[in-house]
Amino acid sequence: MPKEFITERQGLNMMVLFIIGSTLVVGVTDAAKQDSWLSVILAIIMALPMLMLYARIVHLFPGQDIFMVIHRVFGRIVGKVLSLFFVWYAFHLGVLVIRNFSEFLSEISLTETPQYLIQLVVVILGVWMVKGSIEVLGRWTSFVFNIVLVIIIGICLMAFTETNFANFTPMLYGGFRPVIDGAYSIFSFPLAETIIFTAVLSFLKPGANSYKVYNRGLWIGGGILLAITLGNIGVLGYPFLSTQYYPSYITVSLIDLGTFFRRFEILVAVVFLLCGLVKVSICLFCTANGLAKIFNTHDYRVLLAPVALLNVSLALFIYPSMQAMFEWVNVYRYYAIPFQILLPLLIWICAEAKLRLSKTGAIEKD
Amino acid sequence: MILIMTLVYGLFLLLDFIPIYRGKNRKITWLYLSLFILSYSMTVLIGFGVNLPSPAPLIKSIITSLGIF
Repeated sequence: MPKEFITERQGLNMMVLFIIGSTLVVGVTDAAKQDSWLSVILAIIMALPMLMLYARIVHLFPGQDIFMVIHRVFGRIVGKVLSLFFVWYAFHLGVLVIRNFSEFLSEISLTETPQYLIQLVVVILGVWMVKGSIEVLGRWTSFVFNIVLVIIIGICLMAFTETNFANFTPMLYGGFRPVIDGAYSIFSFPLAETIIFTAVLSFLKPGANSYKVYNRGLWIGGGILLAITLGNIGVLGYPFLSTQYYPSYITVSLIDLGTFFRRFEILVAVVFLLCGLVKVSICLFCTANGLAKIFNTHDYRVLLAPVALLNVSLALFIYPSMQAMFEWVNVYRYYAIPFQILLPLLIWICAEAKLRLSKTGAIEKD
Repeated sequence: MILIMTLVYGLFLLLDFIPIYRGKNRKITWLYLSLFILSYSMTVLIGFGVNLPSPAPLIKSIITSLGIF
């Protein structure tokens, strides 16, 4: 299989769309209520060292994805077990995003369409794109990124006209604890989910910088999350915002420019469709790539279709209802700790130790 | 649902699996078929109205038992 490459810019675009993927419609946590925007800023600061750690793992072994790194650092048996953990995480994340996708569409427009059909369409598109190679995904993301950016900037500007600044007060009424609590939720969903990119950024062109991709991706993606959160609080305000499952969609539906320009909420749906597709495709890629490495096969593409179909099957019964899906967010922030914090830390420490020992000649170089 | 899903799975077999089968890589063929059959079985069971156990409550109970939620 010929080596595929993505540019630094394509990697960055993929990361930004991945970050805003499902968060755009599901919204960030409302633990801090009107101070949620502070939680977003704090979450970006909290995520920065973690994302730099992910970038370091990519940087230590250029051209090798997380599965190859794990294999190289921990050996064959332990490496396969640890890789399985990451494969499960990528697979499960894909399932969650697919279900978010189908629930959202069933709720807002395709109310009579069975969810499995929506899910099938999404994964078939994802399989088609990733089968084309990661380069196709990179090029497509670059094309879509500009459209998404224009729509989001437009929405934020329009939301500004409907903003009630009194919605941001009183500030820090509940103290700092809810802000920190909310920040951790935003850290785990969606910022630290970018651990998945340790399997993608190995395809960066030689000479490209993984730190730049992670750093800029975090600031741009986090900035967009901040703008969306500010818009939602400004337009809807609390406690009304807490009662909405899809706050951004409701926010945009309230925008009414001169009683002539209205019903912009379809734009939110379009952005979610585009970003969601990118997120699903990346999760599919990561799962198939990890499985291929575990089973010592060269081509991940052959495994894309069965993985995608398994995604749909699990997405059908992962949650009994939409309420359960939103309640899962509270569980997810703890569930994700081993995958987003503990395992990357362990891999990083062992990788650094192995590299240093191999440099000093204490262990044989691979 | 079962009919539509069977049609989709059949199309995947025709368009995706047959070239892989012809590639004569037995490991990939078996891995593909295992995932495929697992997925199709789950879909058919859901189609017949069987309540399959979701991993979400299990994960939640593990986290609860650790006392952090």
